[in-house]
Amino acid sequence: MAKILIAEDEKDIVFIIETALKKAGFETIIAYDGEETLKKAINEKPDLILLDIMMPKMDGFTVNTKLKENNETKDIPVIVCTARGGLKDLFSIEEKWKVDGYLEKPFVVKVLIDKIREVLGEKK
Amino acid sequence: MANEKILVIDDERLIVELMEDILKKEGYIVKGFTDGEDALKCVLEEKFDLVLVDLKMPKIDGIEVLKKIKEVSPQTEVIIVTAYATIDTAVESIKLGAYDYITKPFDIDNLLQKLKRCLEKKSLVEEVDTLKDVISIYKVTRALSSCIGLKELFDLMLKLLCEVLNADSSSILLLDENTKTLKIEAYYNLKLQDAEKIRIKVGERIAGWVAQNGNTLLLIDGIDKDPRFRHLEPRPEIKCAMVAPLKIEDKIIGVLTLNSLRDTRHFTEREQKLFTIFADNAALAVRDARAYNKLKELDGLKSEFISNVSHELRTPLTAISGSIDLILNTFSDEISDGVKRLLNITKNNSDRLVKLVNEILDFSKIEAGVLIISKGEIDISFLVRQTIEELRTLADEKKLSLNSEVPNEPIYVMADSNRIKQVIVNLIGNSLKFTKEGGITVGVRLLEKEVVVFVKDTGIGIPEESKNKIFERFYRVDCSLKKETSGFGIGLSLCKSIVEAHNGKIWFESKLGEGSTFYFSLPIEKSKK
Repeated sequence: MAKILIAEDEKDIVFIIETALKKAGFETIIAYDGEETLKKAINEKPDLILLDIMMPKMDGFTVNTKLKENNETKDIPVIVCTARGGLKDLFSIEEKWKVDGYLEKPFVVKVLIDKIREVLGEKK
Repeated sequence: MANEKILVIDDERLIVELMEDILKKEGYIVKGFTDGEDALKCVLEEKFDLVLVDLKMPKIDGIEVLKKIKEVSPQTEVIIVTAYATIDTAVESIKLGAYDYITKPFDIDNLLQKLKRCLEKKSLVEEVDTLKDVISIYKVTRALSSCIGLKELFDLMLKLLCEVLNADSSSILLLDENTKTLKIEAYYNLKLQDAEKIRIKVGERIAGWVAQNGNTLLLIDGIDKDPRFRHLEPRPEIKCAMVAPLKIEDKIIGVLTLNSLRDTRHFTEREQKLFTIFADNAALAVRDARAYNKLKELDGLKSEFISNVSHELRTPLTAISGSIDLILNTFSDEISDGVKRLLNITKNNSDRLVKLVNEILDFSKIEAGVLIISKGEIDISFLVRQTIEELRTLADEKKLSLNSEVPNEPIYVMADSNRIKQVIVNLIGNSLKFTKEGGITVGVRLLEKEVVVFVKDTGIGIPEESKNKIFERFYRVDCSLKKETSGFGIGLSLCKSIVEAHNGKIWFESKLGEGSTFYFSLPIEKSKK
């Protein structure tokens, strides 16, 4: 069972994603801010990180950069999931921010699940 | 006859008096001298339009007088009067700048005619000079208005000012309304210590005087000569200066100064006038630049604000649409059909809200100039066909026909597929919105250098008075109070920005009551393989 780290500060959204992922058969871990995300990425070794951009303590850009800098976490696939629109190009153009997927909020649950499956399939 | 000033110099008193008589009767202002040196002293103090000078005089001869006059006052015309006209002296005097010569004894009519012609030529030359000055000021103003930053504007202004009026140094001081002091904003070619610390109170020193009185000053023979400013501005290096107020609608916003370090009479009344005009233009440029800066600042704030708003709106929308999504797809067997229907309504409306928020965000991106177009090779025929099919249910709901005139073969263009789709969706969406019966036809036509996509409807059409505003942002054909359709009025403006970012064009044809056809074109970039 693949383990997904949900990095998201909005509790309602966390609940929705968590419910959807569990229903789809994934195991979930949750981080409510940027620092927690980094810590859990290192300690819990998730198979994929669902990363919000605007989070307390550390924003998603920085989290992603730090994940990529660390040998222990650099290979964990990241899907950015943000309400701050129009960042798609930034994440595909900027070398240091390169991510495996990008979803704009609000997202369709099915699309999110499909994206996760697609990225995990590619990585395995 | 205009009252031009004529100076008559002849060592024979009788001739001077006779000429004075004749010329005064003609309406000229005349001064006569029998001594060349006295006459020259007079020329230093007064400006004459024309000098009639005898060639042979004791002490100083006509040629010498001519040379001196041309030195101190090059604009003054000189006619040589001589009883011993030889070709040599005539040629020499004309070479030295005399307008003409007259032989004694002279015929009065002949003399008057020559005078008249000479003065006419002089006023023509002056007009041409004025025109040239106006042109140079116009050029300077143009340069100023293309300037963006205030500092950049000031530096350019002072540099151009020195160039146009052939001066050595200049500075601009702006008035602080609260403290009633002038502060040096920029200076050109001036050696100032701690310039940014200099403060001049209104009413103090020369700049302060101008800021208080609002008149342009012309200071000749050194700035210390004027009794009003004696010992106030001990700067002996400045031989000649002009100081003008910067006024906007009679309100003084600062002071402009211009100096000559070479010549005590460098500036004349003419330059003073030009300088005043320049200062007026400069004041307007300062106002525009200030307004522009303010606007730019506000614009940045607005874009940032819209970006934040859209984020804040999307977050709760994500929770709403995500929840509905989960219920409808994952827990659908736990709810009744009635509840399902209500949830579908909620879903459709939350989708609609999301679309509106996205529209605002796209718009703010265009406003901020950060709309990113990522072009790739796309098949426009396929894209249009696909979009038509996606929107077919909407047309069916309104019982409108949606026809396709899209060729079967692929047409490749370099474009951002998502953005172009957005344009097509917007245009078809508008047609659906404004058509009550009949239908919509969407087509693609391949021309030599471009591909044209059109959306034709049998809708209400566009009123004449709205035709030139339709692509303007926030414009809506129906006024908001008797609103029949929804929307922000940014859809078409967005389409225009997207199409233009692809180097394409967007336009329409419309007849009120009969329908509209919107077209947009995309260039076909021939691959250079």
